[in-house]
This record gives sequence, structure tokens and C-alpha cells, in this order.
Amino acid sequence: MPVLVVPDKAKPLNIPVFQSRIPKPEELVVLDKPLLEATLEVGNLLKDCKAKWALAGDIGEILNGVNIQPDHLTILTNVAGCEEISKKLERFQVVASRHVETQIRRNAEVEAKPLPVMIKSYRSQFNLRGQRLNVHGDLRIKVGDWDWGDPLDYEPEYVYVIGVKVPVIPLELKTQLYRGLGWYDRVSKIHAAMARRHHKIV
Amino acid sequence: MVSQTRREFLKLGLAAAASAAAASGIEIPLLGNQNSNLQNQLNSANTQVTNLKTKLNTVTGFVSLNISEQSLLESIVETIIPSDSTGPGAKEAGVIYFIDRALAGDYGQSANMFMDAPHNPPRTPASAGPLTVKPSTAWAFLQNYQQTAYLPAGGGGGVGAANPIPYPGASRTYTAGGTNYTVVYGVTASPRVGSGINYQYPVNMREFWRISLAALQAYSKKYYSGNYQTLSSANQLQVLKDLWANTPKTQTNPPPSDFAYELTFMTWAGFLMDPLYGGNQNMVGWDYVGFNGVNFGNFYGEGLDQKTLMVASSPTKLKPASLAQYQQQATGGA
Amino acid sequence: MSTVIQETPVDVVCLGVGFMSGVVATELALAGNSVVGITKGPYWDYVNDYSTTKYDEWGVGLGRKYDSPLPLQSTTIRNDSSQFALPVRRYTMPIQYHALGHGVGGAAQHYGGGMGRFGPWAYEMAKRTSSAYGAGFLASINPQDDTHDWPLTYAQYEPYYVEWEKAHGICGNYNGSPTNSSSDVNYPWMSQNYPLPPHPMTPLAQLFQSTVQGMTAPNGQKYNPFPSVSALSSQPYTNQYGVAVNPCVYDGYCGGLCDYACETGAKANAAYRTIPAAIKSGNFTLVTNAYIYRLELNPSGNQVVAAHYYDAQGNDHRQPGTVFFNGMWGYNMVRLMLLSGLGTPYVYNSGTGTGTGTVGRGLTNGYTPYRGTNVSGTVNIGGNSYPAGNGSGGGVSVFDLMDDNFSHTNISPPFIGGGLFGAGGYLGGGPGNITFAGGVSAPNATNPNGAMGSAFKATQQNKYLPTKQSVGATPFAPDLPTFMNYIDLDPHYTDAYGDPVSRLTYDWTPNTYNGATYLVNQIKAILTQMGATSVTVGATVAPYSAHNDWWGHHLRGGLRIGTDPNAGTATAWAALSGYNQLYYNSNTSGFNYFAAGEITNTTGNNATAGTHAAGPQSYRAAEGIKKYLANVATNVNYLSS
Repeated sequence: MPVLVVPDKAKPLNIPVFQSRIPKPEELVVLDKPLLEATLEVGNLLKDCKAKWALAGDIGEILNGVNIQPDHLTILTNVAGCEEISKKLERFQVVASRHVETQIRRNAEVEAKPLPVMIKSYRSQFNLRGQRLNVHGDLRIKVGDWDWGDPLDYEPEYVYVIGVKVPVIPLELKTQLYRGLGWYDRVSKIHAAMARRHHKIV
Repeated sequence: MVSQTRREFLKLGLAAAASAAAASGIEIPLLGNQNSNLQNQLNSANTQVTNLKTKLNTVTGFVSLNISEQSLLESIVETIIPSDSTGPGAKEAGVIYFIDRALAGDYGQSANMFMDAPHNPPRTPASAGPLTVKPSTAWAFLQNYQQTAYLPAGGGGGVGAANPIPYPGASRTYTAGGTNYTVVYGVTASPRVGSGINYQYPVNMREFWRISLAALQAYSKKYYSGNYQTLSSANQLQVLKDLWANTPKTQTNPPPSDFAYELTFMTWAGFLMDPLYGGNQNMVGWDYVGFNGVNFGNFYGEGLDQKTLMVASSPTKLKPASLAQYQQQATGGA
Repeated sequence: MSTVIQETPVDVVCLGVGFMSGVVATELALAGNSVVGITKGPYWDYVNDYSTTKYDEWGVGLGRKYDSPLPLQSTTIRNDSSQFALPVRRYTMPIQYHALGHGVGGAAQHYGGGMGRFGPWAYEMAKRTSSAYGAGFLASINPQDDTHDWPLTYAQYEPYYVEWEKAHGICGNYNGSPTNSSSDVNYPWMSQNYPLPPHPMTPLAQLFQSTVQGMTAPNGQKYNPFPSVSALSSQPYTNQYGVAVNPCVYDGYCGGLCDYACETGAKANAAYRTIPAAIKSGNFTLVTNAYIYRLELNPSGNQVVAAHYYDAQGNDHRQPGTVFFNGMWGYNMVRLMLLSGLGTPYVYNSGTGTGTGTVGRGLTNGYTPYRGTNVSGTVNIGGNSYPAGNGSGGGVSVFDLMDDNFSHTNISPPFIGGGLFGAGGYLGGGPGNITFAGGVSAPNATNPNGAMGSAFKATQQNKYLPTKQSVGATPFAPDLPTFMNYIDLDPHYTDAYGDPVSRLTYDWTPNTYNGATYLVNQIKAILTQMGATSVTVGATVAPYSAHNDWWGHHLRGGLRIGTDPNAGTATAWAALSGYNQLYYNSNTSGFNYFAAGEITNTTGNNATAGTHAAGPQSYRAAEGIKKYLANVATNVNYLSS
């Protein structure tokens, strides 16, 4: 059947048409499925964890609405937590817990000077559903030739990941960290996410 | 160097002062309290801004209402919301300016209204005889296309579908659960006052007000022996009640009650809408009813928050904040 | 003849981009199919479009600046077939005419966020009523009863409910079932709890909860209160598509009949739950400011081959596709079917009081009557009723007065079903100024000068700072489908492009009102036990009052699914979602047109819970569409497998 169009029916419009800008994919905060599933699995497996732990790194931020794409999972905990998690995630463990000191890829920028950043922690590594998980116990940071900082401490905030309550590092702490490292691009991303969340509601 | 700093300083002071008239002082990040001369200038700037703000908030002048309408409407709105011992009324709130601006804008232009013909008044009783209305050419065309798809559920269609359609209304008796109910349906629907199908007139809102204000004045002169503005307060109120009751027979289409509704509705809107629209000046309306505007508990540094206020079992009055203030704070603040 | 712009053919064309199309588009795009979504409005960017201008009752509530413009299209309304239907010419407050959606997210831009599953009884209303109360019971209540059952049971829809709730981040704690097992035939038991916890409870909700926990419900057991179910995120959340969701900030510009869009995205809406994942997949194309005016069928008339739409400049476009999902707002969905010659239009015969055909049939309502038998009392708990909180949290409900949770034998006047009763929602869930101004009354017994003069003015002083509250309800039992309520094309008015608008013919039915008498007595007992003072039952309102006070925005029906092809469209793959339906005509299997679903029957539940009951249908539709696409090349009729 042909489309039945009433003759002479299209009238000139005088209707308000709102501007419509469709967001580009990179503007949308969406976590990739494999990492989402790994996060869910971690959340479920660590539900009864006695030690304090929280998702950190980029995964901790995207769950809070920050527009950053993680490529692995990170957990921040203490030494006891690292042991406990190793037990619970035993079958996924690929690197046993040990004390490690490494330099991270990105330098700090202090007074326009790049400085190397070292981290040391009691660390282990896992592979869940093809996704890498790094667990750091008592993570400490050293910028340039300054003293080592104290182990990072925090009060976790919670995100419900499809109904599983998962602890994450507070964005406030990340902001302070990034400020200290001079990574203002990351600070802006967090601010943008907070603006979307609060809209100046004082 | 000094003069440039002073200019920047004043600019910051103005922006900050206008957004939050906080008694606790205004933070100027570039300057500390070291220079008392600049501090004095800040104080003076604050005072000027507060005065200016009050002045700016008091909108005056008309863009739509003509001279006779202005004073007539002024009396009407002050009858509906009088200034009295309980607090300010339509006068202080500038209700008349709200209505004036609305009449000049989208509201008056009926810009977001469906204005197509035919215009059949609602509440037409069945006793008036059946209403017959010619269908639209589009509908007639679709009906004649010989497809069952286009048959209307109410019957009709097919060849001859361009003929006027009769609407006789009906009296129906239903038996439900052993009880008989008789319902009389008029030839058109019977909407309640203020509903979206109540207004069925071929004139836009500005014209509706013009006609209706003139009719109100004519009624006042004829039955209360004078211009509405000159009547006693009691009679001014009575005229409006007469309109609600459809007492004036000089005007039946639209019925006076429709305008009584519009007057009352727009007066209260003028008292309680955001000051951006010309009414509720200095937020006197919000202050009277205890409304917060966009102050969610900490706009002026009160230190309260929504999560506490929403589960309280006794009320906390907040000083209201307006949309303009909110926007200034949102763009000028952190 | 103007030229028609030919668009690239795709696997799935979604008509309208609201809740239901959001689900279908995302599910299909993530499965690797090419999907196009067409909407007559824009993409609302809540960060930029709402954040500093939404706190505006005049512009949002009355001007409806974020809504479908009436000059573009309206609808006409009447109570009875013998009447001339009047067009809705303006938006007013309190809103009578629906505020249908406009743009991505559709009508879910502006609702209060109330949710809650239908119970098992709702899906088999006709069957269970017949077996419990006799075959003629429904007809004895409603002379023109047209009630039919859904094609699937609650248990069969249950997994789809779970997906819907996960996708949209629904907050709650079960639904008041005493055992939460599938043997609980009168409660919506859940295989898993809602994915988010409920919002903080108000003092009134706590009083209600503790009161009813000590009272016996009509079914002989204690009441089981549960937190009111809400679609407003209570916590930061990530759904199964990986979309990050912000929590509610409780700024109170949420409901209140102005029904605000949410500037943080906490209010569940396709734009912040599903569509972002669809866009991210790269398989989804969004076409905005595009007005769909026809569906094109193949020569034999049993397949849809293309959708036709006008863009903002008035150019004509033709979008071909393999499968079409109609996710448009209720009346527009039916209207498009009628304009396109799809399905058998419903025709009503007022002489016999029956009708034939299906498209447009069975219009029902899911909201409290504007005037009805009511009960209320006063409780000495104050609070803040200026904006503080949100539109659907804070309160507590009971399911024990719903559905067939009590025997309906020997109740006079007779009715089936019941109502959801609750109390304690945030007082300040929405600003109330434009609603109040628009709702001013004529002089009456309570206010002899109406809303004018000093005496009335004084009643408004500090009204947002109450030291006590009125609690009560205008309860209603399910508004059942009847032959005399329907949607068709209006013969007199057209949209901006010259096509007839939809016409709604609707009046209240006896079941709705009859339930009120019984329900007010139950509520009265609860209020009294709560310690409310001045508990008053209002005068009984008869049915068929023809006062045209029904709320257009909570209508349901018009394109039902079911197992009887003469009463509704067929097959269990028909998906129902709010106003969306998967349309399958069982006589022509393989029919590729999936319309947005309709609620076949409704219960006395919160209006937007209809959306919640419709949600599962969108997942069912997505599943059916995937099967269809997988089989279309091989021409296998998967319906028989």
C-alpha cells in the first residue's frame, strides 16, 4: 500500500524548534562491558572482606561519573587487606603479594618542572575475566627527591554497581592527589563530574 | 596600577554583592584586609549595590496595557490580593507588571496555544440542539480513500465523508451493580474552570484581556454606577464575585467566569512567580507564603541542607533566593 | 512533487525515543544491529539545558518550555461518542492535559518518579475474577466491560522486570509481600530486590509504618508496609550498560505537578540510562527534531517497510528498516497506526454498546479522579513544603488493599481490585505556586470570596511552613477497559502538517468509583489508629459524572496485547511498555511491526507505575526483535519454536 499523503497538506511551520546537539560518544560516561563485569565480580567476591578496601585509579573515578576510560581495575587497601583479598581471589591471582617500588609512567609537574613519581606498596595482581586487577596495600607516594608520603588513607564512599554496593576512593582525595602532582587536567575532569552531580546546589 | 586594581576590585565586589547579600562579608580573593582605604570603598560599593538592586527590582512602566487598562487592572489586583495587616499585597509585589509583561509576551500572543478553527464553546447544553460541524478536508480525504483503516471509531466515513457530522449529545442510563445511573452529556464536553479545554475562543490572550477588561468596566459603570476604580472595596470585590457567578448578561461568549478565573489565576501568579517575570518583586510574595525559591538551605551561608529539611517534623523558614541570584552565583562563584 | 530524501536502511527503526525505545535501541545496538531512533523533539543536554533555568514555575510549569508545543499537535477530548470533542488549546495548571514527551527521554523528562510493579493478579484479572466471583461478575459492575487478560503471567514477565529495574536504577525494598515467594499470588514478589536502597523516610512515613504494622488488613494478616518505590537514584549507581548515574540532590524541584526535568540525571530517563550506551556503541543514530507522519507498508499490507518524517526545515525523509519499534507516546502511537492503515481500527456502536476492531480500543486511566469519594484527617507532624526532597521518595505504602488481597464477595457497591495506599512522601517534592494559582476556585462554602480578598490571602501566609498535615486519599479501584472508551482520529482538527489529531473518548467507569466506598473505610481506620484528628469521609460521588476532570496524562490502553486477536493483538512476543506495544497480528505471522506497548489492564496503582509495568514489555520486545532479525533471513517462524 502506498503511503497515503493528504494532498497539499504540508504547511509552513511556525513552531519553536529547540536547538539539539547530540553528544559525541567520547562525551558520555559509559564503562565498557568487560570491565563492568569484572567490577561486579570483584564487588561480589569481596562483599564480606573484613579489611578496608576500595576501588581506586580510573575505575574508581568513572563509577563516580568522571569521564575517564580505565583499562584495568585498581584496589587500594592495607597490607592485611591485600592478604585477605589474595585469599578470596586466589584462583584469579597471577602475581603473588610482595613489596614493590616502581616509577609510574606520568611525571608530576611542580612549578613547571617535571619530577618522577615513585610508588611503593604491598602489591599483587589478578586476572578476572581477562581484566587486570592490581591490589595495593599501604600505598605510598614519593615525588622527585621529597620524602615518602604516609600510606594513603581514606573513608570509602559507595557506588551501587547494578545493585552491588562497592566502595570507592572519594573524589575529594583524588582531587588533592592530582593537585599535589600538578595534573590539573585530571582535576578538571573531576570538577566537571561534580558540576554534573551538584549543579551549584549549595 | 592602583586604579586598575580598584576597578577590578569594584567589579568583583559588585558581582559578589549582587549575588548573595550576605551579612558575613564578601570574599575578594585578590585582596586581603590590609588596605583599609580599599575596605572602605568596598563598603561603599556594597551600599550602592544594595540600593541599586532595590531600585532595579522595582520594575515600573508598561509595555502592553493601555492607560485605562493600567489603572483598572491595578484596582482589580489590589482587590484580589490587598495590602493589609498580614503583609504586602499585589501592589508591593508588582503583580500588574507581571501581567503586563505576560500580555506582551508568549502568554498574550498565545504562542504555545492550539488556535485552529472551529471554535465551539464548551458546556453547550444538549437543549441547544445538535451541533453539526464540517470535517477537515484531510479527514474527509482519508475517509474517502476506501480503506477500512481510516474509519473513525465513532462511526461515519466512506463516501460522503465530507458532510457535516452531527453531535446531538445524549442522555444515557446505565445499570451498574443493581443501581440505575442517568448521565446527561451535552453536545460538547463540560470542562472544569481552568482546564486546558476550557478556552475555546478565536482570539489570543491579549485580545481576550482587552475585551474582558472593557466588558468588566462597562458592567461596573452600568450596575454599580461608576468606574471600577471608584467603587468601594466591598463593591469592587462584589463585581469580581459577579463575574465568577456569570451574573453579567452583557457578555455570554466568553462567559465572565472565564475571565474571573484568568484574573484570579494571573494575580496569584504575579504574586508568586520568580521575580524575573516582573512580579513577586523583592520576593515579597515568597516571603509571605514562606517559600524558598532556590535557597536550598545554604544560599546565604545558613549551613542547612536539603536532606535534613526534607525529613524535619517542624518547619524552618528560609530567606528566599531568586533564579537571577542563583545564576549569578552559579556563573560567578566557584 | 517535492523530493523525498532517502535514508540508509537499518535493522531497527525506533519511533520516538523515550523509555521504551531507549531499551530497545540500546539492547539492539549493543547486540551489533544498526539502529535509528527518531524523535520530534531535541536531545536535551541536562547539564546545559536545565541546570540554571529549570527552577522556573512559570516557564516550566505553565509555559511548558521543555514540552511538546501545542501548535505542533494537540488532541481532542470528550466524554461520550455523542459529543463534539474539544481540542486542548492551552497548557494549564494543575495539569489536565497530558504533558506528553518531547525529545530524547520523552515524557519521563517530567514525572515524579513513582514506580512499583503490578502484581500477579493484574495479569490475569478476567480469569481470576471469573473463577472467584463468577463469569458474569465483571459485566454486572461495568455494563460495557471489555476486560481481557495479558498474554503472559507475572511469573513470565518477572525476569524482564529485573532487567528494567537494573537498567533504570529503581530504589526500594521489595513490595510488601509477607513471604516474597512465588506462592504469594497477591503480591509482586521479586526474584531479586530493587538495585538501589530507598530514600530516607519522613516522620509521617514512620508513623504510618509503625501504625499499620500493628493493624490487621482485610486479608486477616498484619499489613506489610514497604518503602514507596522510586525511579530517582538514591545513591551513585552504574547500570548493566556501564552508564554512570548521579544520585538525587533532593532540591525538591521534582514533582508537584510541574514535574521537572532533573538536572543531575538522577530521575530515570532514557537519556541518562540507556541511550548513552547506545550512542557509545557506534551502532545507533539519533535523529532529532523529526516529525514522523506515516509508516509505509509493502504492497500486500502486512509489512512495514519505511517510516516517513519531516525534519525541522520541512523536508520529507524516508527511513527504511527491517523492524520497526513504536515507542511513541500513547495516543501518538495509536494515531500513527490509524494514519498508516495498520491493523483494524476500532469502531464503536453506541446503540449496542459494543465495538469491533482493535486499534484504539480499551482506553483506561491510572490516576485518581479529580472529584471522588475521599477521606482525610489531620496529623500533628509539620515540615517544610517548599522544595525539599523529591517527587517520589520519603513515603511508605501497603499492597494489602490491592488486587484480590481481600474477598470481594458481598461488597456493595461491587467492584474488583483495590488500591495502593501510602503516606509520608516528601512534603516539598515539588514547588506549589503555579499549581495553586492555576487551581483557584470560584467562591464556595469554604471560601465565600473564592481566592480573593484579605480573608483568603491570610490562609496563604506561611503555608509552606505547616505545623501539621492532612493525610488521606481519593482512592480508586482499577479503571477497567470498556467498549465506550477509545482513541480514534479527530474529524475536525489537524496537526501543523495537516493530518488529523487524535481524539480521546473517555468517561469514568463504575469499578473506579465503587471501590472508593470500601477503600475509604479501610483508610479511615488507619488514620484513626494513627491518631489523626477530624477524620472525615467526603460525600460519595457517583460514577459517570461526565465532569471531564480526568487526568489525560495517565491514560493507558488503545493498543492492547493479548491472546485474542479480535480483542487485542496477539502473541506472547508482543511487548508492552507503558504506551508501547509490540504489535503482532497472529493471522500474519512474521509481521515485523512492533509497536510500543499498551497496558492491557491496569490496577489501582500509581500512575507512573504503569510505566514500570510497561518496562518489562520493552525488554520482551527487544528479545523478540533479536529473534526476528536472526530468523528473517531463513524465514523461520520463530513464534512456533
